[in-house]
Amino acid sequence: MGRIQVLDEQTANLIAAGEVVERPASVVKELVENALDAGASRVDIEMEEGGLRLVRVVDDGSGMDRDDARLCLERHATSKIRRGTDLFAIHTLGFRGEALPSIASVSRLEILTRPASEVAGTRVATEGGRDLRLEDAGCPVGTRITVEDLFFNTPARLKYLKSPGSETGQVSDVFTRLALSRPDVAFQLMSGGSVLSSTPGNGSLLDAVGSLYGTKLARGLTAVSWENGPTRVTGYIAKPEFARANRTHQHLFVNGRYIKGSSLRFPVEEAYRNLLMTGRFPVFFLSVEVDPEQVDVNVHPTKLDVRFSQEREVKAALYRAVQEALALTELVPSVTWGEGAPASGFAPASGFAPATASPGRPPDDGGAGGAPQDPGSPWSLLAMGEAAATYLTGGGMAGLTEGEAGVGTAGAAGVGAPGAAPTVGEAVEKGAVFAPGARQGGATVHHPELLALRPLGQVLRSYIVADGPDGLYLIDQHAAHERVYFERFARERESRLTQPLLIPLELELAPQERALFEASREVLTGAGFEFADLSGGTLLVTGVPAVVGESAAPGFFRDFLDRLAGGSSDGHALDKGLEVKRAMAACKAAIKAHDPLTLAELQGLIYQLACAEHPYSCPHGRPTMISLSEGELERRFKRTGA
Amino acid sequence: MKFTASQADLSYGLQTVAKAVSTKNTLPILSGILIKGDGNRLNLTATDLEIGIECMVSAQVAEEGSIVLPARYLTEIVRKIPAAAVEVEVDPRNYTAVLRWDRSQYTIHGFSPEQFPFLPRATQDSGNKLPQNVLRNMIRQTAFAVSHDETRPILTGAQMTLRDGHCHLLATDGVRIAYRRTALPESPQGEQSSSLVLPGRTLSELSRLLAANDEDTVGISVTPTQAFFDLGDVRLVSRLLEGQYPDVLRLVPQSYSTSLTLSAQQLHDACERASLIARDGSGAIKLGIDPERVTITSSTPEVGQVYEEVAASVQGDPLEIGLNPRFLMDGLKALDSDQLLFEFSGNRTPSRMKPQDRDDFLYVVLPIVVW
Ligand SMILES: Nc1ncnc2c1ncn2[C@@H]1O[C@H](COP(=O)(O)OP(=O)(O)O)[C@@H](O)[C@H]1O
Ligand SMILES: [Mg+2]
Repeated sequence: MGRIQVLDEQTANLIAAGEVVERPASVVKELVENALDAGASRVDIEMEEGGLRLVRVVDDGSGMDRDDARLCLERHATSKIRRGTDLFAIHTLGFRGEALPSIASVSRLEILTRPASEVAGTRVATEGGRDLRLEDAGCPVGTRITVEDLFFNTPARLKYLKSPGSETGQVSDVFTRLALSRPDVAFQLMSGGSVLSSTPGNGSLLDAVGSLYGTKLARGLTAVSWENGPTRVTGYIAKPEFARANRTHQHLFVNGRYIKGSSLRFPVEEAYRNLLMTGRFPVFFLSVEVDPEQVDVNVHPTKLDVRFSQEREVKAALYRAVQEALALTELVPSVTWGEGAPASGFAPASGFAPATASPGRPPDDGGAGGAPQDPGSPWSLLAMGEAAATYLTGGGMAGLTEGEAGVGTAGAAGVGAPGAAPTVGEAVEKGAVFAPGARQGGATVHHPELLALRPLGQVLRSYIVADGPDGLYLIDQHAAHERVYFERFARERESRLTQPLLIPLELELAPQERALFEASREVLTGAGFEFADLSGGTLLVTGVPAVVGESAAPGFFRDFLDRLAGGSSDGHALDKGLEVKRAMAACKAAIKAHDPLTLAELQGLIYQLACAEHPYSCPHGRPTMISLSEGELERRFKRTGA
Repeated sequence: MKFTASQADLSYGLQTVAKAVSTKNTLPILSGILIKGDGNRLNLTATDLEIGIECMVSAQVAEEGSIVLPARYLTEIVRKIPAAAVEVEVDPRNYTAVLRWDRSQYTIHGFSPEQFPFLPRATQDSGNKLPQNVLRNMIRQTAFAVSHDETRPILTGAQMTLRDGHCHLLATDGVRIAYRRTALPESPQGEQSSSLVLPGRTLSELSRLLAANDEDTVGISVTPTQAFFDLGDVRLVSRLLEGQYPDVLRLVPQSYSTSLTLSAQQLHDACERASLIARDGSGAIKLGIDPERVTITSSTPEVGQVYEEVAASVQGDPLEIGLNPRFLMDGLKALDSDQLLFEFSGNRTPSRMKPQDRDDFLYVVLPIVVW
């Protein structure tokens, strides 16, 4: 007799349950996805004891008729795909028809459902997937699914679960992701009868983030809206100052599906490079929409990872979208003195911590080009024009009497005299080309708002004190100058120089490294590397880009290959390596702390900084300046009636 | 042990050997200086097992003996002693030294001298001798070109070859080569040739110890793993770098299609000026050579452009070549002659400079390829 048997339905479901249903959080995920697929506009989730006792998901979606309510517990019963080829163009979240039967096989499950077209609803109940009971029941339109005593019949699996507290945490994570993925749906999570969190469901992602993460973060977000052909990137990115020590606050959705631990986060992180210190990770809420034909979600039953046929393009889109959004943001962390530390003054650790950014465009959900909604924030671009004009044409410059002459000399050193500019407002209108001095080689002012800063002097020969539209500004002279040099070096990459080597560098490559190398050879030669033919496992490097230099080349190479192996695209891996070199060179070239500077030099540095694309942080990610707002000053001097 | 020494002598001796004290903290004893007193002199020794320096200073030794004292404290204290002489008394039971002068008394805890590593000595005097200032110049003219790339350790040293009555010193970092040769005035009979690779650090310590005059000589002896430099009252032992030093001179072209004769000083100064403007980028300058004129140009988009003409007599084909001005200046400073012969064989191959009237110095540098 043959020993192969077709598994009975129950066994098959149990096996599938092992893959799909790991813990209460996965039950919540499956049930909520079904609710969303059913077109719900409101989803309420309830749990008891971390979901081990009970998980209930109530939606106001389409509901099921009597037949569907029975069928949905059958394996691979789904209303969402009909043919195998549909798998290649998936628009809904669920599609495997596996979740409900799997959950049913390991719990006591009840479905209460009614479509709008029927008068009576249906109640279906099972224990461990057996003894299906079906009956009429009165209920509102929509579906309520209750899962009780999860894993009651598979005690072995119960053992792998954590405490109810930690399971609650996991459910919350899943809830956060799902809620963020659909700002148009109102979500609510309750545990033990009290509301843990909820979202308004008004269609605004910003409001959803605000209700889940608090308004402080929401106010530090910058909108991303980028489009190229069928590819769209939308959402919000947080300013560098909100960066975290881990990646748990990175949210990425592809065609509405939450994607976890994907290599897609690299291009986003790379767009932040040089704005963040190492070991800090940006916070973002981004959604990518691509042609569904390009995405392969059928990789893993829990569907947390996807594959793309056009992965490079998608990564490039993410990178560009985030980079452009960052370039448009002003990133001065404004500071407040904490109540508790009045005397400890300026130490960032003690109360001089970056708080809610009043600078920066107020995040407006419609993306209406940053019209100032908050009249109290003069840092927005439009308000800036006026303020800046006052500073430049009015009495603001009068304080710079000895500066007048000094600025002239500084002009010769590649520094423009802002006084010669029409007004910043005009400069902005003319495409921000700001050419004050005859000798100035047409450097573009990327951040005209900075020209409104009027340097008053130096403190500790290290920080520039400046008066500006929002109050008092402190600029770290070394960090600022580093940024200036760094961007200059980056532009000079265009002048391409290779240092040939007398004795070729010999690099031993492992077989997989060799494959990575061969695939990226062109990118490397494009950057100025030269190679003799690869013989055996040894690569002979006969020339290196002059920026890298000979002695740093072997390390550079290793890092490059490691980044490739870690999932970076070759272009990004290369840029990253080159930027490390540039950052080092910039640090060496830049003026140091304790270098005394004249007023004209201070003015010059601010001008150069205004010409930088990312003036608000040094290449290592430290801030170049901080500000103390007028309101904060008034509060400190007890001028306001607080 | 008990001795009295002049503050100046003792301080000189301690500072001389202190450079060899280990900065790593792995073996505590190596953070100390071994002081041995016998007869009318003190023998001071320090080593980090790579380099060892030994220095003799005169002293009145009342009781012979030895001790190891921590270099950091000892050197600093002795340097600041305001008296002309200092008396040192060592308690051999607990390895403690008491320093006395005027009405002051300092006690320093040390180590047992038995733990201190034995510094090897040359087994025989090879008889290779050079005036100290000559070796000092040779090091100055070459050591700057050693590599700092730890992935190719052999290039972090300079190759010294003793052959045919000459001492040759060569260093390369893979992009340029500096080479200098000098005749050994006292070449011993039946001499065998030897070739060794001296660590870059040995060269800089040695050059610091060498006098700037030609009256004092330095004796050089070699074993397969060590080199010994005998400067009279100071001796330096160095471990050698192991491995095959590449035969880089073989990679230098033998014939040149373009050659220039010009003032080294003028070219140096022009490079220096140009690098002020070129400095911010990767610093390349372009040397334009044609029979009419030799030009130096460079441009840094943000800063401006450089154009200079240098007086030179040109032979051979016109050429445009990219060069790193820093590398050029290094070579020009080492040349020690004003009339320079600068030869090229294309803009991707090594170019060579040497004094017009001598063959004992050579500097080879690879161009920078602009594309
Ligand atoms: N909340 C709900 N509202 C309406 N229909 C539902 C709901 N939950 C499940 N269904 C139906 O049950 C089917 C099976 O669900 P499931 O086992 O999760 O598989 P899948 O979601 O992969 O299709 C779905 O295709 C859908 O038709
Ligand atoms: Mg489903």
